[in-house]
Formats: sequence, C-alpha cells, structure tokens
Amino acid sequence: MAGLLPRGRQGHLCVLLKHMWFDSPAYALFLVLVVAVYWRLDRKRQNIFLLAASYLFYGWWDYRFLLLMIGSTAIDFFIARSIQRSESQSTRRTLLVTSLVVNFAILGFFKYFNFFTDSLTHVLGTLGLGVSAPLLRILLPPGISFYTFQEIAYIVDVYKRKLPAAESFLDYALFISLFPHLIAGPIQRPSHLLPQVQSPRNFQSDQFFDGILLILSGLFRKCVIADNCALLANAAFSGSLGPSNLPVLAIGAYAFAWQIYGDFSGYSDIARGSAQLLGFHFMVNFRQPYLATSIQDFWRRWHISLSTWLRDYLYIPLGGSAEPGYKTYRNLFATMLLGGLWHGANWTFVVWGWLHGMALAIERYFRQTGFLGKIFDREVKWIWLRRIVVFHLVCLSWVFFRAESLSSAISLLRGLGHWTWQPEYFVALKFLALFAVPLFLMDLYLEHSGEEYVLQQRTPAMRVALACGVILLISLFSANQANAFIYFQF
Amino acid sequence: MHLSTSNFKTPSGRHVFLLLLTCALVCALIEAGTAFEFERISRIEQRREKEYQGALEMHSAEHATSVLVAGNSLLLEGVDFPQLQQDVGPEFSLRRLVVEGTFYLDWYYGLRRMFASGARPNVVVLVLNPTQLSSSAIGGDYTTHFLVDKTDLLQFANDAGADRNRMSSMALANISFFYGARAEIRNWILGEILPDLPNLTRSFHSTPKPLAGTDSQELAMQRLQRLDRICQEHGAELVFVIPPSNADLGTSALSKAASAIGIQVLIPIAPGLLLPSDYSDRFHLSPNGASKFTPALAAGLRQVLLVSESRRNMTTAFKSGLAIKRRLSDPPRQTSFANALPDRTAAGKAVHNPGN
Repeated sequence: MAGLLPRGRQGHLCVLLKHMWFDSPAYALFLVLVVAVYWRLDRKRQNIFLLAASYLFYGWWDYRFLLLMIGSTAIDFFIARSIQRSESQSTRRTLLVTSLVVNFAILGFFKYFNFFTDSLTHVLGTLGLGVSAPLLRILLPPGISFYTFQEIAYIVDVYKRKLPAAESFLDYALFISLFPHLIAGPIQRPSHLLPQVQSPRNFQSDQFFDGILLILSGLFRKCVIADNCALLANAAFSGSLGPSNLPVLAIGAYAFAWQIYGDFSGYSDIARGSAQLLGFHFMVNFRQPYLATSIQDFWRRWHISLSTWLRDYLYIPLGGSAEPGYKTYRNLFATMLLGGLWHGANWTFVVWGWLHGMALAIERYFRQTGFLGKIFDREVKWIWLRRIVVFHLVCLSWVFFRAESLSSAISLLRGLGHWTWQPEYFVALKFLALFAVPLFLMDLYLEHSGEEYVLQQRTPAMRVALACGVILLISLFSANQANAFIYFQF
Repeated sequence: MHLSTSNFKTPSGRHVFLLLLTCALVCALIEAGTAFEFERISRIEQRREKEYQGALEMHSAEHATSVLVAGNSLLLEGVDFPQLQQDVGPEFSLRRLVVEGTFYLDWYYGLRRMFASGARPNVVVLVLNPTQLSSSAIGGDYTTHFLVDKTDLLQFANDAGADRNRMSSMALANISFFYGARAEIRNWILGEILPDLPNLTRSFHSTPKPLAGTDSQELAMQRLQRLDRICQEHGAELVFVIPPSNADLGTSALSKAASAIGIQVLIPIAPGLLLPSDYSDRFHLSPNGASKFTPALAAGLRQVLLVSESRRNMTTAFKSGLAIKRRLSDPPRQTSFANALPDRTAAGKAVHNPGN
C-alpha cells in the first residue's frame, strides 16, 4: 500500500483510488441487480447479501483496502463489546482511548502523514534546519474519513451508554459498510442506522417510490447542475477565462458554489434514494444551505451529517458554548479547523475551516453584544440582506476550498481589486444562471413547502409526471463530464 | 382513473410499477426519438452521416484515385474542401470525413471499422496535430458510438486508459444511439438557448502542448506505424498531414522520424509562419488562414498523390507481368513486391514541406 518515493518526485502524494460512481451505468446496473435479489431474501440473508454486495462495491476497483476496513470494523466491534461488558470505569475509558487512538492513527497515517511531514520539513527548512524527511506514496482508501467517523461515533455512544453494543458482527459490519453511504456519507448515526440493520425490513411502496424520485433528483443535481457549473468553475480557476479580476473571480466562486452544492447534495440524494430502495432511511444531509441567514444557520443546513457529528463528538465534549468567555470561541475555532482538515490534507482546507470559525465567532459576538441589532430582525428585507451577505461569505471561503494551493487562492483573490470586462463574461454569467437559477428556485420552493424533493406531497400521478420531466432534463442537459463526485476524495 | 382523480398521496405498489414503467418508456422514447430525429434536426449530424456513408462507398475506382481526407475541426475550419478538390485535380476523387473533437485513437479504431465495413480508398489522408496524435484522449461517447466497432470496444477503452466507470459508460454509448449522441444534442440545445455560447467555450480549449521528450515522440511514431499498417492491410496508403500551428508542437522532429521509416508526413505550412490573425482561436484557422492553408495542402497533396498513383500503376503493371510470367514458368518463384516499389522514403522526402 505504501512505498518510499525519492524526494522531489512525489507530485500528488495521496493517490485517490477509483471506485464506482453513482452516476455511471455500472452503478445503475449494480443497484438494479442488488435490489432485485435483495427483496427475494429473508432478513438474515438480506444482511449477508447486502454485506457481500457492499464489500464487492468497495473492493471492485481495488480489493486491497477491504482488509483495512474489515480489520478496523472488527477492532471497534470487539472493543465496543468489551466496553459494554466492563463495569470498571477506568477499563472502559482505557478501551475507549485505545479505539480512538487506533482509528485516528489509521486515518492520520493514510490521510495526513505526508501533509504533516511535509509541513514540518518546510517549517524546519524556514528555520534553517534543513532536514530530509521520508515521504511515502500513500493510496488514500476510499471513504476512510466517513467510515472512521461512523466507527468513532459508535464507540463513543456505547461508552456513554446511549447505545448497546451490537451483538452480531454481521449487523455491525453492515452498518459500517452499507454501500450507499460508504464512500461519501451521509455519516450515519449509530442510533439511527444500526437499529434499522438489526430489525426486519419490509417492502414499503411509498419509501421505494420516494427512493426512485430521490435518485432522479440527485442525478439532476449532479449531472445537470454540478457538471455544467464545473465547466465554468474549472475555466475560471485554471485561468482559461484570463488573468484574475473581479468578474473572473465572481464567475469562478459562484460557479463553484453551485457546483459543489449540486454535486454533494446530488450525491446525498442518490445515496438516500438507494438506501430507500433497500428499505433503509438515511438522515437528510442538505437543507437549502444558500438560503441560510447566518453562518451558524448555514452549518445547520450544509453537510448536516458532518456538522452535527462535529457538534456532538467534538464541540460539545470540548465544552461547547457552556464554557464562559473566550473558551467558547476557542471551541468554535478548534471545531471548524478540524472540520476543515477533515476535508483534506491541505492548508487550503485549514484556511477554509478557519474562515468559517472566524465568521461563527464574529457572528456570536455580534449577537451577544447586540451590535448591528437590526440586522438580526426577522423582517423580510433583513432576512434577504443576511442571505446575500452569508452567501457571499461562503463563496469567498469556497475560493480556498477549490484552489489547488494557498498561493493560487490568494492570487485569484487579488483579482478583487481589478476590473476588466470581456463579452465572454456576460455569456458565462448567462450560462451560470441557466443552471444555478433552477436549483435556487427549487430551494425556495422546498424551503416554503418543507418537502425533501419537489412535489413530494403531491399525488403519485403528479410525481410520475415530474419523474418524466426530470429524466428528460437529465437526458438533454447532462454535461457528459467524467467528473467524480467532489466528496469522494474526502 | 384512480390515479388522476384521487387526492390519495401515498403511493401504492401499483404506483411504483407505473413509475418504473414510465421511466422505462421515457428512456425508450428518447432512444427512438434520437434515432429518428437527431439526423433530421442536426446539420452537423447530417454532414457527418453523409460524409461517413460517402467514405464507406469509396472503392478503388479506375478513372480516379480515391482519397479519404479525415480529421477533426482543424480540418473542418482549416481547409476549404471544394477548393482543395479543385486544386488537387479531377484525376483524384477526394472525400472528406470530419468528426469534431477527435484524436488518434478515434481515427485508428474508426478506420478499422470503416475498412471492416467495406471502405477501400486508395489513399487515407489524416489531418491531426502532433499533440492529438500522441494523446490518449478520445472524442467521447459520440465517437465511441459512431466510429468504434463493438468488437474493438474493450481494446479501445483500454487504449484510452478508461477506468471501469468510464468503460461502462462507453459500453452504453456504443449500444445506445442517444447515449452516444447526447453531448451533441446538449450542445445543439444550448446553442439554441445561448447563441453566443461558442464565444465562451472557445476559451475552454486548452492550448496544445508540444510533444515533450523522446517517450512522447516514440509513442507518436508507433502510432503512425500502426495507422500505416492498418491502411496497408486494406490496400490504402497513409498520408499524415500536420496543420499549421502557432508554435512548434514537435512537428519537425516527428516528420523527420516518420520519413526515416517511410511514412509520408505532410507539413504544408511550417509552425509559426501564419499570422495570429490567421487563427480564429488558439489553434483553429480563420477563413483567412484557411485560404492560405488550402492551396499549400493541395500542392503538397497533389505531389504525394501523383507519386502514389505512379507507384500503384507500376504495381498493377508488375502484377500483370508477374501473372504472365507465372503462367509461363513452372514452378512459380516467390517475389517480393516491396522490392519493386519506388523508394517510399524518397517519395516522402520529395514532398516534405512543399509549402515552404
């Protein structure tokens, strides 16, 4: 899995393994076959079959990391059982710490080893202490961040006696590896998914029906919105639209904002839809994030499964907002910095997390001191003003998230002070509007209706008609790009 | 009917069945609609289909040497084809086949399919720049459907470095007319909605990079030999044409190496000779550039075709002479035709850089 590379030839040190994409014909065929066989089996066999299908899904492209995942699953399964059995608080705590160390060690080695080694070498070099640290060519196991967080949540919940430890390894292994959430979440709470795995599942037509529509909604978001916006974002960030200036920066940041939203919410919809076809329910992961009226509100709507995980397993254990004074701000910063780092071993993600931590801290300060009091009124005009400000702050942070390096993010942001207009920019904005406005209008509709997808509360006939329309739109406007889902890399 | 009149909102098993059936029907309708309507609506598709059928009908005619001129948008925008036919002369029958956004792999497998389908041109003229020759990129689902034979699909995908996601997509594109053509359909619709979109997408094209290092040149040479071999196996001669470019993309090195192994490479206008105003973007020629490139190509091509024709005539004469000899002598002797042919290397050198 890992081998020494001569220094100076590392290039991209973490190599992402390829795996089955949700928008590929291969996945469509896989899902149809799995669903067709699955509902013909009894519960026990359903779980065995799903575990085998999930391992096949995970190992199809590269079998090597299956062993890592199975090993990690087994360690946590047995530690959780030991925690459950033990009455001694110190033993329980030791077991918990052991599990956390093992999980973070695996995650740290595969994801962050080179990042920290390289950063340390750089710092020592700056101080005049030139050292040559070994760098490893490490393959990043797909979904490692997601399943590690899920395992940690399980261990902590068992330790806190919120959840009994799973008695069957099969059930626990399936909870960890169920293929719809395996590669890029949503990160499932043990208390939500594990009982579903442990109990019988009956075919429910409404759940199945909604599942198909969620998959179509996800494909629309990914193939139509995200992949088309990606064309503009890639052009702006790669310099194809010319040197950085305000219009190029705006096009790049707006396009990426809608790309990543369409991409990840599309992925989550397909994951949730696929799970529903198998009789499972996954938590909602996005709730109209660009209609947020504050950064805190944004994090209640964006990647909800991660933000609630960070809140429950990091922010609150650190003391949360119950701590007086500066400690709350410290907790906010620490949570967001680690949240940023979770996304990838790059300083751009750290800065992205820091910016959000900073924004949350400032917002909290304003709320507590009553500064800019009227801004937080519930009048419609203030709500929209807040939405616009929050959207632009988020877009600004996306520049760091998308850029290859800190220097390229900064050089793009330097364009804020330059204005050059080309006729192509107007075409680019029209192109962006063509794909971003429908998603924005969908979000407005969902915000008011409270539905998970458009027309969810209407008659089945209307929803069938909607499905026809969505298939037509996907067929006609898919960007036909070989774009992996962005969050697969995390 | 219950579905349309009821306000019952919870879907039943029957609704699930109806939904699945409707999805399948819509997909089938889209597929059928594309097969029947796409060519009627799209002028590009009409042109491609007409040119493709024309290429398949090419046979060794007695009165004129048949020449297939194939390439991508560099050919489409860089060559005034009626003018080229006129300049080359009536003794050569030229037919064009343009598929936009194509690279070496598309044409290698495209030629295989055309030859397998019965196309028998005397000469194949392939217009690509050196970067496109050495690239492993492909024209996407469109060329996978229209240029690649089912039996070649796996090899094509492997050569293109496709992973399994991409392979599954290519397999579907090869089978389904709609899936293969969907990018073109999308482009056509977007062009109707945003007529000025090409002004923007032109900037998305990355500037071609020169062949870097010996590995890349070696690869280009291997590919030229592979193209040459498949043409020879079907009785055709290969002429590789490198269109003008702003910078030297490895043109001269490639041409020298190709000449050394007897493959004809034409460089009608050397890199960097045309003015920036002769290009409509970073590498496509403008009408002004095309008006300079077309006569240069015609002059070079005519020389090559004349040599090729005389060689073919000699071969034919040699074959008939040999046939008489075989009838007279007993037992017949093994003869290498290659020894009787004119020196192809010399022919290649003779037409090198005629435009300069």
